[in-house]
This record gives sequence, structure tokens and C-alpha cells, in this order.
Amino acid sequence: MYVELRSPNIHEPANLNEYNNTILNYRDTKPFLWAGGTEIMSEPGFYPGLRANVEIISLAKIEELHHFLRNDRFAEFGSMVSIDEIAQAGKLVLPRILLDTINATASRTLRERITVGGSLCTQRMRTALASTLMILDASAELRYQKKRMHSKWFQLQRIYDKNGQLDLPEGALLTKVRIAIQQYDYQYFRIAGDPMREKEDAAALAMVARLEQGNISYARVIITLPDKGFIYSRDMDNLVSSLQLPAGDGRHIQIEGYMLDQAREGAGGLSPLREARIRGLLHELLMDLNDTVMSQSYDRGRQV
Amino acid sequence: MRIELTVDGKYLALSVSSDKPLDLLLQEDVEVRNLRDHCDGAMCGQCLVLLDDKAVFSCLTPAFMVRGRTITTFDGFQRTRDYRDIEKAFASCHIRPCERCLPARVMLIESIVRRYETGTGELQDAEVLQEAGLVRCHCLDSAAFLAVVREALANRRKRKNVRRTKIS
Repeated sequence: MYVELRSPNIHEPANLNEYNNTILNYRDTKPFLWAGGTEIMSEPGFYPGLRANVEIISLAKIEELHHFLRNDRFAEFGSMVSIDEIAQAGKLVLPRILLDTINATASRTLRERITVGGSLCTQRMRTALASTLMILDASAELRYQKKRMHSKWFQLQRIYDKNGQLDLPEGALLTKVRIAIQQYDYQYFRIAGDPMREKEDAAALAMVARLEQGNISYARVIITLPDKGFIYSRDMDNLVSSLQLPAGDGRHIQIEGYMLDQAREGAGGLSPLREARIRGLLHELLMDLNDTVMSQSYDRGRQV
Repeated sequence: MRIELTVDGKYLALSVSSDKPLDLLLQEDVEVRNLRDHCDGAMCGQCLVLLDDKAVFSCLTPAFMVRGRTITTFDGFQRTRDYRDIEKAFASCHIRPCERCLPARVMLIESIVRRYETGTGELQDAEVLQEAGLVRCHCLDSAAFLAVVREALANRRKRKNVRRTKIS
């Protein structure tokens, strides 16, 4: 079957220098970058497909992309580090919300295959990992070819356009991701639906905040819609930051309504199931915030 | 593209398209009988095989990634003593999955057992329950899957006489 098809050429550079040379050699043919391949191979009609005559550059053997570095202030991981390795190696130091996100992404068998770079740079879907890294103020190093090879650090938000689509320079390679090591007073992550199998209806909600005696002094909220992109804005953050906790039902309804409107507007419409899921996630978040603040004030009362 | 790999203990050199999914390669070029369908990466979980002792979806693994590596399919695995541990676990739990998903479930259980068989760490229930959802078939619920994994791990440790020291 399909024996006569021409097979794509595979290049497996061992380091970034070899990668640069390969890119330069095949500058006109637009080589195809291959990380884990999970998303590429699940495209309908992948094999035998239109990619029969392309040059594929497999990133699996590039040594620099497998590095994991950590010090007191930040953790930096290469784009070919699997998300399971991050969860195992950073169990004690990384923000809890990041570990929760990784654990919720897929089972361990799949997590061993999913790479950081792959999950940030997929074309067809936006992952919850990207949104969590965005609210943690992660930055990413990109390498791209102009007259010579450039490397530059960007805030992670900047690699996506306002519609949540990937917006990288032509032929750019994401090499490293860096996040600050800091724990927030409040970290929340939940996902509803399976983003791999039902991405039209799945949704995820992530939030980090600093709490000071029932007031939120800093908050970042983001909603991920795998097929549409990310819903986040200063207005949403400010709305949550202005909350006096514990908040009553009226305030809950107001915030849920506003955020749902934002999600509808950002996504250009939501399916009924997805809308119900987002509403549920937001309700659960606000209830959880109330619980957290009330248990904190109870603990303070007992100490006094 | 010429690739060399070991399938169920047999060393093979094949000439195939470099992006050919591993499940098609195993069905068409190696004639593995227990892989029947190609789901086009829909993640049905029926095509699980072990690639260097780790379970992978063979429909999501291209041929060029398996060069020089070792693949274990259910066809070869069911002739090993390791399979007896899992078979015994199914029998002692009075559970039998359907014929369609049995190969994938066995390979998944084997990969979990290999992850834990020598370590001193306890089996993580949440992790196993999450893994149970990888094979999309309604014949076995997650709790039953967890019970079989526990039993299979106990059988394996007993057979290999693994001494476990509990870290307190």
C-alpha cells in the first residue's frame, strides 16, 4: 500500500548549529519542524498525505532543547522537554497551578510524549498549558533566520495574535521557556471536557491571585478555548481584583455574566455545552475563592 | 527510507515511507495480527504498543522515530512469562475485557507495571485511573482496571522477588 509514494526527507540535527545549517540549506523549500508529532499525526488524512515531498526537521535529537535549568529565581526548560519531565523535576519548586495544569492535560503515557514547545506551537489548537504559562508571566526564546540567526526573548503572550493564533516570525524555532519561581496565595486551575477529543466543547479556567485579608491585591484570570484561543483582558483581571470577599450571589452572577460575555465576544459564539461548562467553572472558582478567604480568616481567628 | 528496528525480539530492516504511522507499518510490513484498524490519530487507544518499555499510540508514532528501537506488540508479548502475571490478575479479579480492547489494555497495564515493578514508590491510584481512559472501550470501568493493575503488579513483584523497603 502506498509503496510508490515519495517519502519525506528526514533531517535530525544533533545541535542548534546543525539545525541552522539545515535551515539555511533548505531555505526555499520551507522545511517542516517536527517536535513530538502527536498533533501533526492526528490531522485527518495525514498519511498518505500532501507532505510526501517535504523536508522534515526532527527536533528530537537537538541537545540544547532538552536542557532543564533551575535556580532560586527562575526555571528554564528547553522546548523538547516533555511536560511529564517538568512535572517530575519541578514537583517541589514550580507553581502549583503549573503542576495542576500538566496533570490535567493528559495521562502520564501521553504526557511523556507531549513537549513544551509542541504544546505551545500547535497550529490547530491552543492548550491550557500555554494559558497557565501566560498568567505566570512566562517568556520564550525564539530563534529565527534573517540575514543571520537571531535569538530573542519574548513575553509568551506575544507569540500569539489577538485571535489566539500563533504569530511567529517565518521559520522561527521556540527554543526555551522561562518562568519565575514564585508561589501565589491563590492558584486555581480546572478543565471541563477533553481538549484532545472534544476541542469544540472543552474549556479551561486558570487564575492566580495575591490575597490580603479578604481583598485581592493582584489577579490574573484566563479562559482557554482549545479551538478558538485565549480569553483574557485587563478588565477581567480588574473585575476580580475589585472583589470584596466573601462575595454574595449577586456579585457572583454579575462576574459570571461579564466573563461569559467576554468569552462569547472573543470566541465569536459558544456552543450551549461549552457555555454551560464555562459558567460552571466560573461559579466553582468564585465559591472556591470564598471558601479560601473564609478558612483563612477562621485560621487567623483561632491564632488570636 | 530504510529503517532497522526490533519487533517482538526479531530484528528487521524495512524500506518504508518515513512518515508512515507505526500501526500501519506493523500491520502491513510486519503482519502483526492484533492491530486491526487505523484510526487516523483519533486516540481510540486500540493501537497501544510498547516502544522501549513505554506505551505509545502507534498511530501517532512515525516510522522515522522508531529507527533502532525495540517494539513489543501484543502478538509477541502474549508468549512471555510477563503476560502470565497480567492474565492471572484478570482471572483473580474475575474480569475479562472484550476481545477488541484486550491487546491494548494488556500493553497499557504492562507499561504501568514496568514503571513501578522495581521502585519503592506506591502505585498512584489517580495516575492509574487517568491512564484507564486511554483505551476507549466501555467493557471495563476504571475501578476494575485499577484492581487488575494492582494485582498484576503484586504478581510481578512476587515472581521477581522484589523486596520493597517502605520509606517512612
